[in-house]
Amino acid sequence: MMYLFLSLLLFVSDALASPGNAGGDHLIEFQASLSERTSLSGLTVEVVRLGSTKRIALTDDGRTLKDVPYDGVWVGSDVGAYSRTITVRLYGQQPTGEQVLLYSGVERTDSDDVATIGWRVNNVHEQYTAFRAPTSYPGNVSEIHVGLPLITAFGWGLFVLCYVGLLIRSTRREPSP
Amino acid sequence: MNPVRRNSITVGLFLLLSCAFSWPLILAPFSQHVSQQWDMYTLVWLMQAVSAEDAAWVFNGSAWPLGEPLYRMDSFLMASVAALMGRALDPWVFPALWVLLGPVLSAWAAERVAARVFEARWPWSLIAGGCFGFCGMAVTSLLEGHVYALLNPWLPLLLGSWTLALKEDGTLRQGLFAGICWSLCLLTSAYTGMVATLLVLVVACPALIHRKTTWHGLAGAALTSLPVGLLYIRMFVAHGESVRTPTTATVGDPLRVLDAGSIHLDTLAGWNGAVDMVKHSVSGPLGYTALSLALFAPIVILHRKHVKTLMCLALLGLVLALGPQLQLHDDDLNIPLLMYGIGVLGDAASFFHFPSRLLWLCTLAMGVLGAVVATQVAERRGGKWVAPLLVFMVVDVLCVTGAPFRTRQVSTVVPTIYEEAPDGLAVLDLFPEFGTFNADMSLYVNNLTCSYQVEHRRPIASQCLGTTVGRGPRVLMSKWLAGVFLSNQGLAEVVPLMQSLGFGAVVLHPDFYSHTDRPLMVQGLTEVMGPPTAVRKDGGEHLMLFTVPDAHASTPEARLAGYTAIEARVQ
Repeated sequence: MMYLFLSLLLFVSDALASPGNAGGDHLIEFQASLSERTSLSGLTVEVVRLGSTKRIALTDDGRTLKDVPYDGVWVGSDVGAYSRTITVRLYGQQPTGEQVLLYSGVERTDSDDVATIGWRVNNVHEQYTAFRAPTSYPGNVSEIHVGLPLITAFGWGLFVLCYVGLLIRSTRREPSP
Repeated sequence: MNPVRRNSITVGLFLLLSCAFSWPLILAPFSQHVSQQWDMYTLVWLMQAVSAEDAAWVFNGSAWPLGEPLYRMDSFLMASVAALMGRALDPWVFPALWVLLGPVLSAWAAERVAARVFEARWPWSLIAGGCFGFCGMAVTSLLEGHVYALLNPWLPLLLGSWTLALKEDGTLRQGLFAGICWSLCLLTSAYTGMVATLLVLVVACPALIHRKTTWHGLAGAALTSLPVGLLYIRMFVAHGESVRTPTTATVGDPLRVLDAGSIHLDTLAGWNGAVDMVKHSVSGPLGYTALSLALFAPIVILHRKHVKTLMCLALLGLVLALGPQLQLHDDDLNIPLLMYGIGVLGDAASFFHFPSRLLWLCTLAMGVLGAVVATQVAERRGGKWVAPLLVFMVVDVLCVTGAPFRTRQVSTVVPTIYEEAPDGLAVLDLFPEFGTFNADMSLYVNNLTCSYQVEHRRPIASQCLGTTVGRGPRVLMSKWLAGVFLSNQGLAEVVPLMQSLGFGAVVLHPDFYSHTDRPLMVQGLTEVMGPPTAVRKDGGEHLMLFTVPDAHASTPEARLAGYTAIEARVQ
């Protein structure tokens, strides 16, 4: 329940507080949500941004702003000149130290304010793969976060329907003037 | 209330709503856009193409050297405005104006029609405006980049004028006006034209069946709509292919293609992040205020005129927008609906990919119904208890559709490297195809290169109209050059062929190539054209410009011969 509340709070604050950044530093955030069945001990993102290659280690220890420590969502960020796209590879580190490629692709990052790239990492029969997912903080509750607007809309719809229903019921009890 | 004051308040409220709806566009309307997807780029390109000095039905500045037919452009109406005013204005001005003012005019028209034709009273008639002008489909249009659909006062005006024209005392003038509105709907977009046609049929049915109409209204409508309709059909049939080129992984299965462009039950109720990430932002949340009011219409106002017609319109629009099969989220329920028959037609249905857009019909009828019900309730119960519904409507517009939470701030800045290319000669943007499962990225980058032309004005090889994955001269040239440079064979004929085609420069997008292909492409281009003339990292892209040695303007015959030679090599 607390995660749900935090999700709602961060969702609204993120949406309203986007500062706009034309001409300034362009922030790209990375988030990878690990399912509980994975035993990966580290995640790294290799980014080709405007011709330069960087490796960014994702963390889940609360050092980064907005990160809830040890919740299974690993985060990292990169700041640089405005970039419409990046080429990205997500690597996971197995307990043996071996690096496994989880995802590779070209991603759009053309939002002026903050561009966020999210993944969900799964372990299917000891084969690790990651697929792109809408962003997922805080907590390992990406599905709830993604569905939050829909859940809220349902609640709102029910409230409005009840209000209108009661209003109409009351008009039918009273004779029209 | 004084009509001038009332209309001023109405327009003012809708303007405020529009600024919030498209937030943060109002902060810098002409130097950014707020779309999620990529069709905005080709729309801006179209604004530039139709206002160019050499503008014609076949635009020579794109799909070079073949040129690009414009007979099937998205919106003849928006293009006409750009053709008339475009030379004096930046092409980015048009979509910004459409986004900011389009919903205002659409909503105002719906509000007025609800008040004047269907007897809703102000301020309850505002519910009709809010529900129609700022509906879920309006958000989809905004985020997809099909912003021409946002300026659509014609549909509510058609509903009003056609309803009046079909009455026993309907006049020729009302019919003429209805015909003009229908034509403007068709010229706004083909889907809007289909919505308008459905509206015309549904509204006409009861009048014709009960023979309560006179010939005046019908004749007037025919006079103004038939010429435009016939011309439109003739232009569509005479130019271009009869089957749309497939672009998605659902090729060969018309039902799945239609399903992908339909409204599903979850996207009807609200929005979620996945819709914008993988479903082209296709969602059509219905305003709960108008929906709740409309649901009670059979109890409150069934006896009133036109209510049954409005209910039929809403229901038909909804059922058709749900597509061939009722789906909860994706591919789950598979319950056949009215549209199922169209899917069975196979290729014949290939142009009808987005049944979701028929939801505009539902939102208009539902909004008007909601306004009429609210009026009735206010008359019986007093305005005090109905007033919160106006606030609810604003919550629907901003929160249920999610418009201000889903927009992005995207800069319209163009990389300066194109200015280094020789003037008057064509530019080839060189990047790889992204494969079937990343067709969206192919479309995005292709459309982006089209929008750059707005600034640099040089002919480009990219094909900009329609969905062009894997098609057009740019793709052919990319395949040919990649084949040459990766195999290191045929290097000697690259420059002569580029010269014969009239290309002055190649702009390489190196970051899109794999780390193994990237150096080979740069090495190949350097070998045949010399070192890059410029390497820049502005405008959001890392680009390398290679100038074709001794480039010159070529004759159309030489261009055609060169193109045919490259086609032969690629095949």
